[in-house]
Amino acid sequence: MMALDELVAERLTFENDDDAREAFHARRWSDGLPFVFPTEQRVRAMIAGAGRPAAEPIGVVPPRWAEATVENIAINAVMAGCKPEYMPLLIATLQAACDPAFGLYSVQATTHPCAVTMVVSGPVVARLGLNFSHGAFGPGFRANATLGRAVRLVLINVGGGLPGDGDQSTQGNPGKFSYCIAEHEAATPWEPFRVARGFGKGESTVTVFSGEAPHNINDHVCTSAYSTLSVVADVMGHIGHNNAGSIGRGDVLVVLGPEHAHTIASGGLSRRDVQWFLFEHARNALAKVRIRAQYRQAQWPRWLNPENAEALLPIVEAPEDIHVLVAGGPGKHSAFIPTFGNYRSVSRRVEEVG
Amino acid sequence: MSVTLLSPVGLNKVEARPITPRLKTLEGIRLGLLNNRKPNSDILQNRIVELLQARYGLAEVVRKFKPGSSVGAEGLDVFAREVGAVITALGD
Repeated sequence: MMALDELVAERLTFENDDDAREAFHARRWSDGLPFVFPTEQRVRAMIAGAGRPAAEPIGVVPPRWAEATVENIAINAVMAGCKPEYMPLLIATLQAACDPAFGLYSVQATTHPCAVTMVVSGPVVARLGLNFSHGAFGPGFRANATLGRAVRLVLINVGGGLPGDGDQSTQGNPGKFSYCIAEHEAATPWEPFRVARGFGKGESTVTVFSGEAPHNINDHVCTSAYSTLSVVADVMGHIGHNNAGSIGRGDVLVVLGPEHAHTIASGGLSRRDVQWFLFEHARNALAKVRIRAQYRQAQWPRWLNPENAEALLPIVEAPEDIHVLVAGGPGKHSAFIPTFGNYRSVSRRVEEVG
Repeated sequence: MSVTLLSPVGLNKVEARPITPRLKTLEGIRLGLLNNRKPNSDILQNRIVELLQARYGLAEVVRKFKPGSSVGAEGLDVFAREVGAVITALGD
């Protein structure tokens, strides 16, 4: 019987630091950036931060289908530069990503440029010092940068998602280095993101999306809710992203900057109203989709008349598939994040430790 | 000074399973076609069926479509029992 605190990872001894660094890079055990050496001492401290046994399985990571355990997650977290207190959030993220509903096999292996995108909501944001304001998508903040990076290192080192190998993405995505954002709760004019996802206000959650890079929504002109949302809908309702052509099972993320969110909410619109407006207006004419986008009539909703070229095809199946988050600092910018399109975002509660 | 590090690679739990016995011939079998719905996969499969039909005289061709190219096929166990062999095609 293996002791609970026994570490099973292979131990590698090198003559000096340079040899160790070069060996890791030569084996492609990295995202290409420098990394913190995963010594036993650091790994044990990281495992302690998880509050779980080292051997506990957390998920099976495709396409290699290797098991992510507290131990190998901790090793990758050390390499990424995480603090031990980040572990519960990191583990919740990987549990969410390994949920079959997320479709991680496809997300990892596809030619599409999607990256596992973390959206964090709740008390854990302040506790870990996650950035939710200026530069919400990065860079400059350790918790966001290293948590997103640790997820990627697990996807590479445990899951085998190496570019050109287990990861066949045609062009990749800068978010594949790190993609971790947090909710600006104080600037959110509606219920917090986690509450909209069905969790309690006092809980902390992480939601994973298979996000493309954020597409900017620049609007310095509109002063009403509807005009502002029209610009958002315009950015969303184009062809070329996966959700435009593969309606059926996907969902998307809209990240409103606080000023846009304030303008919209000042018009009396709830989050639900925003979802409905965008569902109604972020659409593409069937004729355009049929000619230029991926033609997948089999996945179109039955209520859409395929004989009517002027019919407008929504990018998701229902308004609730448009998730709305508030993040960012002052300024008139928001972002639209299309997704892989065939699966769903998944939320997990973040355990409190200690 | 030497340094000892832990490997970040995950371990696979491997279970050895034999592959299904090969068919001796395709003559007179029910041939299954599993299609991923991507453009042109049907063209490729139809041409293969033509060639196999001419060479082996298939009893029947049964077509199955995945819900979408990136979504796993459902009911493969049942499909496997219904047919003698399956040809899957990935178009694009």
